[in-house]
Amino acid sequence: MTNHYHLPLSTFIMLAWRNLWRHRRRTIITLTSIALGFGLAVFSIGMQDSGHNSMVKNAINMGDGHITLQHKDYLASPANYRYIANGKKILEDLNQQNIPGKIVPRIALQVLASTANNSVGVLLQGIESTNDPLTPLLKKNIVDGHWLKQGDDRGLIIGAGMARKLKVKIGSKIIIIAGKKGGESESHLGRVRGIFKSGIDELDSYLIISGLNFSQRFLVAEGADAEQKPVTRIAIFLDDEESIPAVKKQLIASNSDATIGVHDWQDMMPQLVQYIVVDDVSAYVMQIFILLVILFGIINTVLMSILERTREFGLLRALGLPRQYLVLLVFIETLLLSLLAVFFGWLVGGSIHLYVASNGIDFSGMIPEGTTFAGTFMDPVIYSELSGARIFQLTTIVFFTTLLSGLYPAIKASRIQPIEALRT
Amino acid sequence: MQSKAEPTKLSMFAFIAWRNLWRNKIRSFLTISALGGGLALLILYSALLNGMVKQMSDFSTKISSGHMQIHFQAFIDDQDLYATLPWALIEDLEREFDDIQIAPRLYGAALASVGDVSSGVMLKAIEPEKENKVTTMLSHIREGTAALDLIPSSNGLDRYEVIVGAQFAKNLGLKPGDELVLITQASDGSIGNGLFIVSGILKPIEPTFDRSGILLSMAAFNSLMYLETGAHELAIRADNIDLVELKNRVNTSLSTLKKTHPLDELSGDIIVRSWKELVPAVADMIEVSVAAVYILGMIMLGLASMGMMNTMLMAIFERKHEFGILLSLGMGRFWILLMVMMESLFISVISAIIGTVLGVMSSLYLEKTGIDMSSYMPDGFDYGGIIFEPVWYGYVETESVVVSIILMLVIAMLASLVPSWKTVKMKPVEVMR
Amino acid sequence: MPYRNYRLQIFLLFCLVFTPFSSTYSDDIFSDANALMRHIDRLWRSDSAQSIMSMTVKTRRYSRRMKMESWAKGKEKSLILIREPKKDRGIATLKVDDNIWNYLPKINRVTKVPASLMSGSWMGSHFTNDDLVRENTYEDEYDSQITFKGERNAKQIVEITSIPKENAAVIWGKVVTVIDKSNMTPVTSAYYNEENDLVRIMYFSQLEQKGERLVPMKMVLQPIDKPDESTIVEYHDIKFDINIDDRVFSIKRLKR
Repeated sequence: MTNHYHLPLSTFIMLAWRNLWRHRRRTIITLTSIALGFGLAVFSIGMQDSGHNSMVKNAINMGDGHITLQHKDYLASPANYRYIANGKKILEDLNQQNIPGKIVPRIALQVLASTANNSVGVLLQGIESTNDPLTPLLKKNIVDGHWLKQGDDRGLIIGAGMARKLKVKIGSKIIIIAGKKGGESESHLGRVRGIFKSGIDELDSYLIISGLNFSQRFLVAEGADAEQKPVTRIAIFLDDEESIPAVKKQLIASNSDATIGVHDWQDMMPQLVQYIVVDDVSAYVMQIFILLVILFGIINTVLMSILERTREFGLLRALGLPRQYLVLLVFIETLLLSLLAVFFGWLVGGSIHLYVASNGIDFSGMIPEGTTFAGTFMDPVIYSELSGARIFQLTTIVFFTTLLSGLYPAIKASRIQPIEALRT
Repeated sequence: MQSKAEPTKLSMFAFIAWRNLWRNKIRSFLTISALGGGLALLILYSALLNGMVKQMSDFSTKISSGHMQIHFQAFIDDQDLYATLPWALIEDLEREFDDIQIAPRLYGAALASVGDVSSGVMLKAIEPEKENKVTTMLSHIREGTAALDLIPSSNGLDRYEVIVGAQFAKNLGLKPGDELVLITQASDGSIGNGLFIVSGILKPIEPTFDRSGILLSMAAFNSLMYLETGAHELAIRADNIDLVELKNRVNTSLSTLKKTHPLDELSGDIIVRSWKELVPAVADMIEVSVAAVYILGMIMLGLASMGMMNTMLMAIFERKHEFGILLSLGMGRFWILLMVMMESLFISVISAIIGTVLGVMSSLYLEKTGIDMSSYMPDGFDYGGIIFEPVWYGYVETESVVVSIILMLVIAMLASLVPSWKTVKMKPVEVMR
Repeated sequence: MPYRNYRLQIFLLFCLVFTPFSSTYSDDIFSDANALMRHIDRLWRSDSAQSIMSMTVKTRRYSRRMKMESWAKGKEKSLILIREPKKDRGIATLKVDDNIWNYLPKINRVTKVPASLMSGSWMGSHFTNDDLVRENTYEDEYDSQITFKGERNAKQIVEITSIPKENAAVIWGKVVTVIDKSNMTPVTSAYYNEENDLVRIMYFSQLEQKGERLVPMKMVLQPIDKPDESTIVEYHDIKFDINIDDRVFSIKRLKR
């Protein structure tokens, strides 16, 4: 039987819409299931992404930037004498390239810190304190004294653990001794200006911060020329993480010095990379489960609808509605449902996200040992974070899942034999 | 007479309830699949988390630290070289506790020299035979062998074999068969020095060892250190024993032994710790995972139950007529409620059975095969100080399964209360219209 | 082991630039703290020197006695060879210009020891590895004042208090040296931290005439917080200004 009348699309839409609301309870239950499941997904993903990003951000800030320039052999075999001799020129070159971000020189040395009471092996990190991202990170953890002042070329900032080991206080002197390439050593006096407590043992007990000019003395002792501003590395903190690959490429291309290597933070911190991979996998697994949960929430109601509506479909077919139109009708119903699902999903999920994004959840009570983990730490208060990519990802998942769930009803609807249907 | 009637009435209702289930096969089937599926998923997810937890605790207990460890306080605080538990004390402990395995270990700092390059290292001395009874450390060799013997040599320079960490080997370019020099300050203040030969490279188990660790035999350690007084650490394996009880037993025994074996005062107290105290981060992670399963479970099942609730509501709506008749025939409201609840109960139980079977079977499959991530990280990965294998295995734990089932039953029954209650409120007259 | 820096001891091991030694000093020297310290500085210095000494270390964990022979030529070359105990015989430390090597006869290997890796004490004593490299004089690093002149313990002494200059890389807060006026030899050196706590004392004794100099042949280093521990250095022979062949200072030579 061919169709000899033509129904406008708007009629279908209206019909579909009214169908949805005729079975009000079922529609509401379906939408609620989806919205709740979605809300859960948004919450867990928002928190996880945020906790993640927090750890990565902190690791990068405590580390050596998104991209690091250092002696090419340093990564494989760190040594004090593997430094960049012409730091000044390189910094100038870099500044000319207009890289969006902070470019800071650093001198990192493995040294011995000695006092009359004790001596310990430490990492001496010489930085330009006004500009370096390490400053705001540690400055807020100062428990005694103050941070380095401009022009202080003897000041040292140490952790509480080290202050205890060396038995020093504010104003005490510490003699820093660095081994030179031949085996001899070079010593210089520094004075404690401030003591910090970060909760991370690696920082509190093994790190000393000084100004660049203090640490530079040791490189000069290794034969460097002070005029050229030697450094151990140049750390680049980009404004936008996404630009890492592009900038790295650019720097490798423009680097004419064969002794210098260009590394990104993944090269510098492989354990962090692993942590993220693992976290991502477990996140995906959890998302799949949540997806299945959503599916289960809908499938039951959707399939039930088919049974209920067999009669209704049969009636429509018997009345002359062509098969294709029936399918179309059911399809549009599902489409509308999907749109509604996304809407309500985001209503619930979005409000959860917005709430947690501005208020945050404080984890400091839950994890007593502090939130240090994998060599970095998570900010104790987590604010939900959703990137554009995530939002897209979640929306499409919900939309298509709901759409797919309508596939079976549509197929069933297309196969209905009017007479049998009417008998039910 | 009466006592026989009651059970019969109940069983009659049960029978009716059962039959009611199958009046609308498809609907019942759908509900069962929703609940059962939700349960299966929950069982599967908890199996995965249990697998992770098991890997974490196995790592601690079987690969590296054992179930429990004993040290002197001075060693815990400063790695004091002289804080050794005397051999005689250790032997007495071994004799007294025959249900556990004890592996002694010694530690020391040294300088390793390969060609022109020197690097600070941490020496770890073990007794391979005893160690193998407590941990599986020696079976995680990546390259070479796990031998820690003395290799005699033609020119008179005997060399002991050592096993090194993977990252350390990489940093210094070492392969099995290569030679290295160890220099240290021996226990008598003299300069300990010796030649050693790399026999094997250990897979990454612990990040610190991996970077700067050298494993050697006690004999090799003492050829360098001259520390023959005892051991710094006792690692204990206690299968199937309650650790809290064991700790108490050991502490009691130690207080007696302290009297017969004079101990160095400078070393402080003897401290006994279970693996959870040794790696609190792991214990924390475990707690968090358990909580996560519960939360997820409640939500999953909650959603599935909502579907069931809807189905029931529809069913009751359809059967309004039927209920009305029953009510007007004199069947008490309570009995109608009971009948409907029983129907829910049956559905829940059937769902539980099916869900459990599906869940457990797929979990067992994951237990054998697991989620394979070794294409991403062939070495396994370092997650907060613990090295995991790159394959994620599930692990079926009866307790988790039982808890999941109970959770499902409770939630399902709660969900069914709402529609059931509706039947109570029905007025026969309205219903029959 | 905690770090201990004993500067005078270092001069014994690696000798520095020669300055002529004069045994005739006017009385005025006893008013000039710097001149006095310069004199002390030079007691153990010369163009070249060879010595045999033993070092006895007593800690709460072990007691050890070592015998060593040392050669030094100018600022750049020095060699220390261990003679006793038998276990350590033949272990040598060679310094040429900026390089330092250790030779270990037992395994017949030479290693380079980067100072910053070994924070432990030198040869298990109360001295540390980095004590080995001290090139500066007292005058360069300290401001010295005479704080007492007179009699103490039946001796006429001069007490000098030396405070480190502002940026001097020394761990001490102050060093108090007592000099015997009658022979211009050091009697004690007391080392204080910046809080004015006494951390350790060096006692000098057994004066012997070596050529033009009167040199204390025995030094006892005493840590204050561990009264039963000490390091004692005794010289059995010192020869100043002798001719030492350059070839003595070579690694190859070590391996014989």
